Amino acid sequence: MLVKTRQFGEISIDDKEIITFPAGILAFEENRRFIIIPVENNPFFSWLQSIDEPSLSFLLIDPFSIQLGFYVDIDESLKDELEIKKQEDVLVHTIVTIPKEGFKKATTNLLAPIIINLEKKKAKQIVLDGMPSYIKYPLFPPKEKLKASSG
Amino acid sequence: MLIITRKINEGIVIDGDIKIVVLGIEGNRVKFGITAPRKTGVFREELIEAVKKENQLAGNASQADIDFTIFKSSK
Repeated sequence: MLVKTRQFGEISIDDKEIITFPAGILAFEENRRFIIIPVENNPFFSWLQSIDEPSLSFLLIDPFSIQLGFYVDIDESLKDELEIKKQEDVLVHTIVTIPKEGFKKATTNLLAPIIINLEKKKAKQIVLDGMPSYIKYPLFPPKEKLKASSG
Repeated sequence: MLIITRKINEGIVIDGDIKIVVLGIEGNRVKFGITAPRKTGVFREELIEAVKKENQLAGNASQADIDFTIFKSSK
């Protein structure tokens, strides 16, 4: 099918690529069908583009690329809900927010990751029990101040 | 909206298997005990609102604003 998008123009997709969010994404509950579009030359990023709303696209990142200690517990009820059979079928991504100040100040929401079952093409944004500051986790951690030279 | 008065240790049952009990009241704080099936998400409202707000901020990201080459993974 042909899909209209603000960012990528009209794109042709295979219906099998459509990922469904049965519960929607918080604040965008009406938009349930998305596709994942890779970012060229950077394996850590991808786009989650709505099929039904051309202007709705989220930038996703592999959260393990910025926070090595990050983990998500896929419990039995989530496994049932997304029909997860094998761990290899599961993709965990988080949404990136780019503020007016630009990409260097971008953050990602580690508190509410997107869990995708690639096999069944079902996904959900889950909310973890964690620190609220993880909603805005910086992609580029602020550098420590340079120490004054003792020289 | 349903408005209901409960005493300490009294509860309400929602949809058969979700139970909320008032465990105690201290000043302006109310402590609840909640039992619900595992699939039921139970969250503080402000957390859900914060995630909604963040999704709204993120929902119209544009590739024109991004220089992907500056991102170096710590992996």
